[in-house]
Amino acid sequence: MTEQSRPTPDPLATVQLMAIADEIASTLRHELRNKFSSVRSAGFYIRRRLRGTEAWQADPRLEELSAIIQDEMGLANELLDRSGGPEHLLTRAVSPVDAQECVRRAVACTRIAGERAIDIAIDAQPGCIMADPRELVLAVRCLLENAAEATDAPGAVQVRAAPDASRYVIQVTDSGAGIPESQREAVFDAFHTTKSGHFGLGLNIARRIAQRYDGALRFCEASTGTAVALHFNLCQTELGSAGARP
Amino acid sequence: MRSSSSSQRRASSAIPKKYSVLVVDDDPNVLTSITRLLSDDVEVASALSAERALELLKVHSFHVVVSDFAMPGMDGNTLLGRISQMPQYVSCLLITGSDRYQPVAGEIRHYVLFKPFDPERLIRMVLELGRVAEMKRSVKLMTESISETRIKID
Repeated sequence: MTEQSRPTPDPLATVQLMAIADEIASTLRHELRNKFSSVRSAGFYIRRRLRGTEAWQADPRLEELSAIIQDEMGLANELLDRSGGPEHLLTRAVSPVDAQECVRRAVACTRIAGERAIDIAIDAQPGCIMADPRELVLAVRCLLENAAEATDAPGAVQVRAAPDASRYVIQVTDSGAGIPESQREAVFDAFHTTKSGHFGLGLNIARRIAQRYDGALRFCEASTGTAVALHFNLCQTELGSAGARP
Repeated sequence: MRSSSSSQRRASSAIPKKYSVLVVDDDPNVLTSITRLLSDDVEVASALSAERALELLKVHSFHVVVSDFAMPGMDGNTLLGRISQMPQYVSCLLITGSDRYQPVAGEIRHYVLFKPFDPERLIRMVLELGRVAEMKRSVKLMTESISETRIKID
């Protein structure tokens, strides 16, 4: 392989890997807590029903084993809570961030699968957000790549970013077939995808990043295709030359 | 002694249960375990989705709704938000094991219990919320009754 043909390293590789690991760990924790709940409740009910009966008093192992179920469930949950996520692997650098520059950067490093002819039209206004710039860029890139996937080539994706009252809103619109109202919540489920070879985590990652900085990810009205928008609180700090950039 | 204890249990299970509770969870095992857990103390109905819960609420009056947060389709927050706007007061308890849960901004509309919860705590909370629902409904009835009396006097 020659120097020129070597692929450009993805500047967001580490932060994206951490975001995917975070989503997977979070989904596992949720599933395990559900299972622990069922076992703990079932164990409690059996103990409550049997206590005082002849069988309970005749066989001390029943009480012993019942106590083991409760204790082990409690310990397993403590382990789960202590394990946390992979956050400790990524040291966040939260500071006032130039949102306009982050949006431009996200557009620049968006990867269109199969080099399909998808144009990204950008209209970004200045604004300041308190966040880690790498995560903000990743959130916008996730939305752009998701929108590009939904758009037939040749086609276009539009990103508009501007302050709106006390919020900074980054809206991404595709020209795809759109998502029916009834399926809109489902697309936020982890690992929900209709495309083979995809994790189905792009919208989850974008939403989690938004929520981490007191923001939100919401669907918007769109005449064609699908429009989603990241909402963040505008930061009052003036961005000087020292303002964090991605 | 033993026969007395079991006859007491039989007698207590024959006492009509005071509160009616709807449990909502998309995980069938969680739904069954919570439903069974509560079944000695309250009348319990169950629904595997928020949409089904709303259908049941149209035809049955519940004192308490216990709902999971993360469900396909409508989530627990949205369901309990809808219930809080119904004309008759219903106590709402959200149960979640999701890291993603964030309290609804503004007015607090329901109580939250995190999975895996202490089963005894869930029973205590449900009974307490049943009492709250009954009390609020009584106060509303009394207020309406007083208002009607005033109108007649005027």
